[in-house]
Amino acid sequence: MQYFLNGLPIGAIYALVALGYSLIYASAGVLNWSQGDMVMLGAYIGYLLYRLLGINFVVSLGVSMVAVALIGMLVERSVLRPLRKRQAPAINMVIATLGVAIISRNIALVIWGPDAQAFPSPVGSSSVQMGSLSIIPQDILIVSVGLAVMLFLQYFLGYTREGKALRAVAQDRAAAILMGVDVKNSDALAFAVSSMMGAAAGILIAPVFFVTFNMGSGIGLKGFVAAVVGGLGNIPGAIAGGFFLGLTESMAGGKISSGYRDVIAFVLLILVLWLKPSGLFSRRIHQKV
Amino acid sequence: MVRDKKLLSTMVISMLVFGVLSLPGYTRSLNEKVLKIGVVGPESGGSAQLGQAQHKAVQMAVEEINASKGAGDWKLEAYFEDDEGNPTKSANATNKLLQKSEVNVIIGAINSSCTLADMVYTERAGIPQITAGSTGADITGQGKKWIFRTAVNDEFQANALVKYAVNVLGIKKVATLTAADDYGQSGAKLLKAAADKYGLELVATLTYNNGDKDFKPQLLTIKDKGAKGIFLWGLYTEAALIARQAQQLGVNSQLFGASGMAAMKLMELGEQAVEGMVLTQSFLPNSWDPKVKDFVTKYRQKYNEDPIPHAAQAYDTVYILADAIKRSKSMAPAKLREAISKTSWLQLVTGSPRFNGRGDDVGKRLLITKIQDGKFVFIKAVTAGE
Repeated sequence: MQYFLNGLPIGAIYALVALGYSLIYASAGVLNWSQGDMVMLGAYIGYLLYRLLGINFVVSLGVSMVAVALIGMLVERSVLRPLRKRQAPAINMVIATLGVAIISRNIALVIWGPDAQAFPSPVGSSSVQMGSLSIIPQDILIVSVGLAVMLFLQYFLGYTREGKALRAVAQDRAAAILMGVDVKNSDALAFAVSSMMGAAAGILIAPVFFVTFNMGSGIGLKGFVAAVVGGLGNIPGAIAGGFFLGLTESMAGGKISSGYRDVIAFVLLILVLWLKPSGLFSRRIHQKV
Repeated sequence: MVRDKKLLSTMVISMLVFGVLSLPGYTRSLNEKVLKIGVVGPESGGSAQLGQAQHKAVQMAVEEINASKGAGDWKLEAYFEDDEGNPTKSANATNKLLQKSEVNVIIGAINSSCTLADMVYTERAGIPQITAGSTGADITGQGKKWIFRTAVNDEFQANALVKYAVNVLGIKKVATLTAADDYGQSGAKLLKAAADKYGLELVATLTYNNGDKDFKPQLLTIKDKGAKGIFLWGLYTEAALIARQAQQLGVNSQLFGASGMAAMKLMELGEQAVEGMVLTQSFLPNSWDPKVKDFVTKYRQKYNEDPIPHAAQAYDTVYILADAIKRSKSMAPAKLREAISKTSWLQLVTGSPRFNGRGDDVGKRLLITKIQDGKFVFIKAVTAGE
């Protein structure tokens, strides 16, 4: 049971990052490898506001999410749009996002240095004991804010004009263009929303994991595994995949061996790619001829 | 066209001439004797604080010794290389120092896996290497000729910690939680040997990878097995996270750690979770010893911060070298090595160095310390070779 409780918050983080991958993949058709580094940037901006300037946590969270969303849009506009204009193959764009990841990691290294920075939890670090279980306030915060962000995304995609446009592009880019949807705008929007969720994940996890310049690589990879497990491009699948991966890791780490935790995550990735490449949580899409 | 060629060749020749003239060897007067010290350590990356401290301390010692003619007729010159705590980069850095800077002796590295990689090159070149930061038992355990160590061998530390746990704290059931690298694994082996020796029951031997963030599965296993003491062997970032997560999970076991994680950053990251943790180290800045006081005052003046043990050990190492070159009167590697191995009677910051046959400094003081109010507090001292 304790393993289950420990898996939930990390699963929520993976889900947020996986959503970023899936959203961009679905709408822009690109794997965005800088997703993990948006987590890192979000954490650092949050650290700057909350720890160094002493601004209220909720405000810091909001400002950091907006700032990283702008960074995401900037990445889309300055790196991906020119490539798309030249009709570069998708692999070039994927590699370009990898470049963005390396650049942002090194910028963080130059600005904040190589050492980890402590990020105090806004809800305190002492745990609540319930029988043999310990419940950590920060974990509750992670899960609840994480779920709130996901609900917000559902609302955004389902009920707003921009969200509907995004879904239309995801379904069929060419048809969306023909229907008069501005795909450039929707690409930028996908990056903005994805980066925003990354930033939220970054601030939420910072009190637990500290803030380091290379925190994005690990979280980014795990988020990617979660996205693939849930079916890349599948929004509810990404959420399910995130929680599934977090819980599996925690359980397997406890029951088998914690040294093999990463192995378990990546074996899962290979198995899914091998046996059910569309993801564990995919609905079958009936192609109409 | 012909003119151009002439002009070009004149330029090339003049560049070559200037290039040669500006090489250090040619601008220096011939009767000045220089001992070149290569320094390898992680100045960036996860253990950057340790490497930067080593850099600063060596710099300071070299300046002092040169100003006071502490090495007789010899002038010391230090060449620094950053290895980022990565064995491959460390080996390359060592090779560069040996080949390009033609150093007479190497101080380095900090991470044990790096030092082991560097030793391949210093053994091959036949150049003395002193590690002021690596504590891995393998380093002096394989009978290599050119290696010395002014850090405290992990074996001494493991024995001292286990002895303290059982004799003073009366702990009988313990677990180890160690990094899955050379340093952590050698620590795990030594702790097990020490636990067997002093009759402690080892209920779990767990590992983690450097860079891991979530240690809860391991801590829960330890909690289930009922260990009263947890011995950590790794670096400060992970140690701080482990302490925090142990506190959150309500694991009330006493934490123990070795010198590898003894840095101010441990308290900064671990906050109240690391309070009460017991660590072995070779140096505390707030000591009554006049040598220590003098060193700390000078270091604070120069760098505006408190020195960490790695700084003190690196500082002493330069003094050992200055003393050795004064006695050997030659920088021939064999003679220099001989002189280092015969070091005695020096009173330095971290003790009175004497090297045993393996190259370990057995004259070093080993301090058992505890974290209290965000500071290391002295409990008792034992001699390293005890």
